[in-house]
Amino acid sequence: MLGGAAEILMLWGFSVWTAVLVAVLLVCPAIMVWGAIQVLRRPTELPLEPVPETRGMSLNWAAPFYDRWCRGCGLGDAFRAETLRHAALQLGERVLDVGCGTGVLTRRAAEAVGPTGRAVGIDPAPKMIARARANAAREGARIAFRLGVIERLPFEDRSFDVVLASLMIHHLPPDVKREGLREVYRVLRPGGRLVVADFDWSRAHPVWRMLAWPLRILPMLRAHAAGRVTPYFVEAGFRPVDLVGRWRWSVSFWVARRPDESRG
Amino acid sequence: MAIDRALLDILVCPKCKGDLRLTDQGDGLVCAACRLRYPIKDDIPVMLIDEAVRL
Repeated sequence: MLGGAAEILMLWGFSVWTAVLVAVLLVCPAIMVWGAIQVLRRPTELPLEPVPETRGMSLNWAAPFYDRWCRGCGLGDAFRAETLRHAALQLGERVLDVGCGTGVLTRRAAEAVGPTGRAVGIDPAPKMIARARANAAREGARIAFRLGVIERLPFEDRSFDVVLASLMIHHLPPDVKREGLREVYRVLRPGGRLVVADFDWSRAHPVWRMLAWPLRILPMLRAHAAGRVTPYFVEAGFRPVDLVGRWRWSVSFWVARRPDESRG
Repeated sequence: MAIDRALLDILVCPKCKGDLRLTDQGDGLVCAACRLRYPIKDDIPVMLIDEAVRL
């Protein structure tokens, strides 16, 4: 069909490059639609391995190419560095990376808290965790990885100073967002902080805002397209919740604190 | 690799948030209250209720 279209265009006197351009423009949306269909189907239906039951989205299938994908989207090393700048980790702090994926951020966090601190990564995707562990071992990073879900964190109350949630909240439907953030609140010590990097198209350029508008039909992304992410943190009990920065066109950074009751 | 002792202290059962005990073979974490054993696969504790083995 595309070949035919190109021929017709050339008969009309367009150059071959115009035809190539038109072909690419036609193929791109087709690939995007196909990709979206693949992604929207429950990941467990892909013939891989059992993925734990969570109503959040597990990126098990994306493990082999996730890091390259992120870099390609402009979410590479500079983005991770910016995330850590907002986290302002101190030596000796205990940090949990929820939805750690391949452990890109967890490794940097482990470096920042040093040998006296503790870094733990948790993710529901077995393939991601396996990769994270191999990567950390290769770099000699001392990180403990766990297979688990945010809505049921396997950690004691108040066992972390910092929780990082980088590009993970948008994988959760509204009720799991609520449950998960309550769990994060529970494992943070009073005065501890949750550092979030996630999509927030409401603060993007009007063109992006318009393109993101249809994403409101997806429960997982509705808050991110409508600019209503902050209320989830407030609802879980975090105070204050600060929007501390932006990354390129679509990502916001938040720092949400668990109030320190002892200080009133 | 033995599972980190310090970390075991903060690990709890994801279901009841109760304490866990490392099995003698070191291949799982047991919650006595829920009667569940969370397997340790390739040194990674699988802290998922639906993957836990009923005792």
